[in-house]
Amino acid sequence: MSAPRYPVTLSRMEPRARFEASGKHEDLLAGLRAAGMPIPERHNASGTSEAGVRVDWLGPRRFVVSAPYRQEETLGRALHAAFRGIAAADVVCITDMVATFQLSGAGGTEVLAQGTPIDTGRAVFAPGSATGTDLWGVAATLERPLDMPDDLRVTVDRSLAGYIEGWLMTAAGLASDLKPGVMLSALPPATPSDPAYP
Amino acid sequence: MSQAARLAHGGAIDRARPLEFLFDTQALSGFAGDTVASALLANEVRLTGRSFKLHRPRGIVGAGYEDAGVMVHRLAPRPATNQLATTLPLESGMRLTSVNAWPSAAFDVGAIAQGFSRLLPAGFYYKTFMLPGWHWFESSIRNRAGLGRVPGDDAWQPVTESRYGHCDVLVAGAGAAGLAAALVAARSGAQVMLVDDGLTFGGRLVNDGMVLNGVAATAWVDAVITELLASANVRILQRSTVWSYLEHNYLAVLERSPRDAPGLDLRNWKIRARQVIIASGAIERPIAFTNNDRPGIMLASAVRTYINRFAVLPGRMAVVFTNTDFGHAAAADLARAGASVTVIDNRSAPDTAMLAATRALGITCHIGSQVRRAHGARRVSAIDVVDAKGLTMRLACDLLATSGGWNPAIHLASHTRQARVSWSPVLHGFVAEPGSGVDSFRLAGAANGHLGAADCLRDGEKAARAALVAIGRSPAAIDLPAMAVEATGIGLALWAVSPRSRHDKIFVDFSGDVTTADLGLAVREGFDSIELVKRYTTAGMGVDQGKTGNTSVIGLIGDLTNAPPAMVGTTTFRPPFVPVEFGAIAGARSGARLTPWRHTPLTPWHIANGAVMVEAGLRWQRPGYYARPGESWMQAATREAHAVRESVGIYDGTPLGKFQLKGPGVPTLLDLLYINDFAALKPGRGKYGVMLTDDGLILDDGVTFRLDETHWLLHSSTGGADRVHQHIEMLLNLHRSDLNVSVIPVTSAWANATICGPMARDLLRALDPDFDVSSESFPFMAMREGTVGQLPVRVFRVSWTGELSFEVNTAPRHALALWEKIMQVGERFGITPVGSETSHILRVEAGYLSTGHEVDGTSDVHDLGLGAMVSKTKTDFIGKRSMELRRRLDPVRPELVGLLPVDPACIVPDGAPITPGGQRADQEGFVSACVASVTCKRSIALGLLRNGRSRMGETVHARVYERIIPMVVVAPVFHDADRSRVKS
Repeated sequence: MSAPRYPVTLSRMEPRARFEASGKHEDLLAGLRAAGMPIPERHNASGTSEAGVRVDWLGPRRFVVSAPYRQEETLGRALHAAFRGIAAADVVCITDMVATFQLSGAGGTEVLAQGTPIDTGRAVFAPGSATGTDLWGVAATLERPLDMPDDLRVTVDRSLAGYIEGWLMTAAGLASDLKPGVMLSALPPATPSDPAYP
Repeated sequence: MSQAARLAHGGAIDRARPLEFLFDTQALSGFAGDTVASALLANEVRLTGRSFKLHRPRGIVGAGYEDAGVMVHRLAPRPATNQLATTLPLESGMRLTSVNAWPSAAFDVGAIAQGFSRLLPAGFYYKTFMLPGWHWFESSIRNRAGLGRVPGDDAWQPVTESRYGHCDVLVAGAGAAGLAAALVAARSGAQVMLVDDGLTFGGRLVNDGMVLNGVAATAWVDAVITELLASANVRILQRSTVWSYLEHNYLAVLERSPRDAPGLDLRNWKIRARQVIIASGAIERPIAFTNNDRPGIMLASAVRTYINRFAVLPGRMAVVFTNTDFGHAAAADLARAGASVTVIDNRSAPDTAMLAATRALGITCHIGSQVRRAHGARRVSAIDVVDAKGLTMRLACDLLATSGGWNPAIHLASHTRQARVSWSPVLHGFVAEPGSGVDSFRLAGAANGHLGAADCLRDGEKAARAALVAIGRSPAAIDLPAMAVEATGIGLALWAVSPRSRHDKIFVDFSGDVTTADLGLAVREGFDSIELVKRYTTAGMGVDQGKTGNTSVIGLIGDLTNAPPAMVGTTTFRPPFVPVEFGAIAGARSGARLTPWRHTPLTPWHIANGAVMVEAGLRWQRPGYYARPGESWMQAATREAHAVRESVGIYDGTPLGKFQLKGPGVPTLLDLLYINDFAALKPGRGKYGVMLTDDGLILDDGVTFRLDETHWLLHSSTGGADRVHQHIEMLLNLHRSDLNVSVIPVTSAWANATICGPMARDLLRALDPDFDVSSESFPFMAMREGTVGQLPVRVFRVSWTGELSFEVNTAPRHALALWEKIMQVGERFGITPVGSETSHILRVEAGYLSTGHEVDGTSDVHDLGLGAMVSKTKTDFIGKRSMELRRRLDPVRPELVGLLPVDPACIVPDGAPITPGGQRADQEGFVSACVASVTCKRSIALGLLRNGRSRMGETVHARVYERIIPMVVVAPVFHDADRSRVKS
């Protein structure tokens, strides 16, 4: 494999337990507090606990809670219990729904700048930042972890993991074996023995 | 050939690195640091190409982007056409040919066009293509149009990148003003981007060989660049051009061969800058006269650049034709470089001190004189000079430099549409300034109308200070370098010298071969507005977009129409400022990266088992069919459909859109979204619903289940998931923010293996579920949660095939295990994996609707036979009023029908129009889907037909190209009409 164009190492991360919480803001906060979650101080930022639980505040009606994979069951139980009595906020396990990539090294910003209009430079996107944005035309969550300030993480819907991985590789200057999808119109023609199109 | 015109000393070239190259048939050499143009001049190659229309011999005029007339075809390395010689760096082993010439620029067959120049007047295209029979000669004209030729299979495929960028201050141009501005901004701690298109920095400071602080300006330039490069808050984009400046300080920059990214050829930047300083300099204005396009006639500023930056003497017997002090400076540079020089100064009384200094260098000066005509075939050999008394003399020369004043490069400011452009009576050109209340950009230096380098330095510093204050930063101080006073006088505008004969050619736009006679003809024919002149004559529409000629054209039109230039106005400057490769704009967005295709967790299994993957809506890739050796797709789909009808099939239903809803407002929300009633739905049960757009047409359909008292799961179609999500969010955020509802899209959180067919229940039972799967316990439109094959699942009894079906959902981590277990256990039931082609056959047979076919964005629920679903108890739902109003205004609607082609083997293409009798007439419907039915053993179709339900038994006709296909109208259900199989 050729060397990357920018000083960056790409890897797909092991899954973390992940829960999406959505709904009315006050109800969301009430649910997260009841579950003892580390609520971030501001929008587009993360709150973390000593146990490795992180809460990303990604939108006016959206938080994402994550933790080491082994905590999925206990975390899920706590969150569901906390949200059970909350009228207009809900929490759903999305551990399997996403794929996360890690960009280690200073070149991560150069790579992501090819796909997202937001500034992911450390001066603006400081350690502890997390945001939902557009990345190469698809919805993505970007993070700069507090404990790994030189790294960036990209989380996307798992159905798009191959597409994003191909982009990350190409944007870093590495070869990618990503194959394009097939349009319906590309189906081969019917044989003469098939019922005939005019 | 040796570099005969190369000076022994000076220049920003690396003489230790000679580079060999080939131009047409000539083997030449240059040095690293040369452009192709400077290397050609160093080798005394004056004839470099042929003009676009008349194939006149052309040479190098400028030294940068302003001279887009000298383009070359690069055969090697990296074959590409229309490369600008004045900005293209010389490389070792280059093989270049001239553009628009065959076999070479020196001997060009196309030059015969000069003999027909009178047949190519202004408005040629307008006039020619009005003639009867114009199409007979259209192709030959097309063949002659255009420049360059597209390389073949070996064409350069540059590695490109398109990216975003952000900064506090973007400085466009690294000349005197730009460097001063960047230095102030950098020292102030702002995030700075400095963009410059040169091979090296400094602009006129270096091009004109200026002296700062008592030493060559390069020392100061190098020191500034070194400091900026060492600043973490500065990014310098070299060999880069701001080619577009759009709203909200959004700029596009093309960067060539970025130094920080080895292997990258082109990088296109999309930059948001808080402040922009336009320090793009000024473009020197030529003076036009008869035969002013001869090779060897150049801009005086370009002559200085070649001498000072590239150590090339463009001519030994030089004449400078000027009406500015800058012409005298060029003459001085020429004289110091060893040329014999004569100055023809149009002004009657230039500055005496300057004149004395010029003469002190041994330069002959003719004051109050003009160059009327150039002589020479392939390069200038002599000129006719007319003095103040009208006497003409002929001077031999091999170089003529002209200096008619300066046009500030205001293009970028004009792009913003926020600049005020006005005529400067001092510069005799257009200047720009930010419009009233605009504080996001400012012009500096020559772009701001300052011609002296000292003024430019001060203006750059001032612009930076203002920009920093505007973003709340305290400007840092810098020490500007000291320099001698520069003569910057400019005489009255001299656009063109009057010709002796009306047949003389005086070119005002080299790119398009536009002459003063063309301008006159345009005005005489009524095209006297500058916008019309531009289009009629093509002045300013060539490759250089009028960078050198536009102001002169405006001045000449003013003369012809007795209007001052300010009244004539300017044409519109539009991006791109310089030619930009499309590939750079696209970056790496091509091929597999063009569309975000989506895959389910089962894609590897599908592919390993022969699936042909195709799109299935919203960019999902699903198996279209599983081909066995020798099978066509239709044979495969037919085999799969038989399996579903006769035993059991399985398909990957993962892409189906899914949304989890919670909150006390959900029943109200669903009753607003759907045409039918949902509020009373019991936990564990589901209901099919149809939702409408605001205008009463079908938006999407799907089944919604009530998971428990508080949670609901709404299914959309695969292709409609995004628009349904947007629809719901807009409703909740905008129209009904009072509803207490949370919505979480969970499509990818669940993988779905749907087993369908008469043996589906037997199969499910064999998979050892921990719940009762009997019809009584688990009826149609019910759901169960539990385990199947020891894996956690959520099972829905829904069908889109016309058969007993179970949608078995599980977390993606279990998807492959579940699927393989079903396949393993299902083997004894003859289980067959089926693709979307089969699903299509099955749903048409069962008469189920499909988004994109029957639901085409123009149909409502009554059209599709779903009118009985419309709630009779709800007072309102989205789209109700619009639907009722539309039907009241036009009760004649297309209605869903079944269609049986009279020829049972005929498959009618989807979308085929139905017209009365199949004639060429307004269509009365269309075929929405046609398949080879395994149930009916013939082709069947669904379609929408005007008043279709009242036309059962009638024969209608589809028209496909010239073929008329008769079809009999029948009910739109061909299988399981009583739904007994589905509900079994």
